[in-house]
Amino acid sequence: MSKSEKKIVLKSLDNEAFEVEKAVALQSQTIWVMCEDKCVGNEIPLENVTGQILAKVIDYCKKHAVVDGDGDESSEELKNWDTEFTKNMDQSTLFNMILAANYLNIKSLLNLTCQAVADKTKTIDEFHTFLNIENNFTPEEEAQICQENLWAFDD
Amino acid sequence: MSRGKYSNSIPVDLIMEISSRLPAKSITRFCCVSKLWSSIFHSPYFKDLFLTRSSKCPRLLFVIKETHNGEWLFFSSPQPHNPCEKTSLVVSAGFRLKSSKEWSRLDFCGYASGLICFTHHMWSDNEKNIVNVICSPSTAQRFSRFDPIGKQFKVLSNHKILTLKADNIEYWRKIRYCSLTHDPNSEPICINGVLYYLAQDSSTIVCFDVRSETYKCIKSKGNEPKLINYKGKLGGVHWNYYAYGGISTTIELHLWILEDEERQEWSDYFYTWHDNRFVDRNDVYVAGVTATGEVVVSTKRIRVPFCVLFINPVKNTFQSVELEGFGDMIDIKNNKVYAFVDHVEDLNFDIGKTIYDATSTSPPEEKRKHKRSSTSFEAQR
Repeated sequence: MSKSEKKIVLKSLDNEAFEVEKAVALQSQTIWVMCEDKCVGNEIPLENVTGQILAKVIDYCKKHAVVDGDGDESSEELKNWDTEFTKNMDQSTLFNMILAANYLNIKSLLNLTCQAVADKTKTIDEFHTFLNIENNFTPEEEAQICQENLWAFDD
Repeated sequence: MSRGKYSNSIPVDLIMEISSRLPAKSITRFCCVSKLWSSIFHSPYFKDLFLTRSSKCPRLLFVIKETHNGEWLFFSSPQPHNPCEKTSLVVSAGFRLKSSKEWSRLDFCGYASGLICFTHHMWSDNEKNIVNVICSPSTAQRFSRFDPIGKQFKVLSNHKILTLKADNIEYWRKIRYCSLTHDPNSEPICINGVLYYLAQDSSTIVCFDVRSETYKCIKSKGNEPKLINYKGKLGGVHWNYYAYGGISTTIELHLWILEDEERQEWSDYFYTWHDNRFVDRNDVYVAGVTATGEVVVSTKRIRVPFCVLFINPVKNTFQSVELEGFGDMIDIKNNKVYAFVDHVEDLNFDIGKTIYDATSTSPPEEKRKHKRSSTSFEAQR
């Protein structure tokens, strides 16, 4: 395989280009399928992902491409890296990461980011922030549901 | 952050993905956000998704009785995949099962498939009756009703069986008596639909196949072992103590594993240590065995600090892990704890809001025979 075949260019929604190792990019099932089908050249346009988010996705894929397949010790190290990776992301970045992981079909990243949002969602207001629906319970109905499940509200 | 900021971009299936990773308690709480989400969280699809996720992160469950008022508290903590790397864990509080007019005192009876069975002794017309109350630590529901088709719960009591199915509860049926006269002398455990418990002489293990409702007996090993599920095989754990001149003590934790049920072949592993700081023979409770083979040992009472031991006699490893977060919620002096490993949170039992109790289905003529309290509980999934 020549040097150029090992590399692949990913182009974001805002036309930012990222040259990455093929092994890194192929963690995305979506890109893998595109490459298998030979429907793209060496440059893959990703129309749903911004450059800012794509850079983070590539960071994740690089880290996981290097360490995957090694022993237990490195898997522990990888876990810590994952925790640090999502720790300081704000809600908006996390949601965009979820959307990107879903679009690019990277299961482990989707799992990681969904878990990170779940871990940060503790109150009803936090849960409301990503719902597009108004609460259509009447105050009485809501009170009744709360009353029935009082134990769940006590921390 | 404004409400619904991401709403246009985050599809419902991704919100379900995220929600399936929330604790069961949060799901219960978030049911009040809207009718749509209440119905989504109650849908079989979401409950199955939730179960798939939670099965991957089993937890340690602590069921605690406050002995002065008879109330029960539920706590759970993450279960370390590799306990040798953890020295402390934080528990999260579940709910408190308060005593009521109906159920003044509930006694612990058994644990299976994430559900707890309590018994309640009731006196009416100078007759003692036993009520079985089944409780889900994940959803705080008390019930004896279970929905999904084909899946059902059976409660075994004094050679009579109660089957719990969708919409109706069968009457207590007598089952074929076992040739051996026995009363369960230990907490029963269930492996692949077979219920195992020690008979009263402690040298026989009774196997009750829940599907075929037939009994079988096998010879037990060790001295009054606690029966456990060792990676899908029947196992027993017992302790040996050797004291030398009243000063140093050697403690052995023996683990028996039934390798071949037909030929009754057991293998024996043990872990030995010479420090009795950790284990007082009258104060230890074997919670079970994790999927990686660690025998989990808890004390019978929550105190400060409260430690759980992970002992692997096969790999010869020992780790003491401190549990934090019980805080002021527990009366440190008057409590009794039952600990369980591999607890999987499950929303499946939150179906009916109605609370049933199983004795209401006992045929009247059978009532007199309910006087003894040997009730076993098993969930067949």
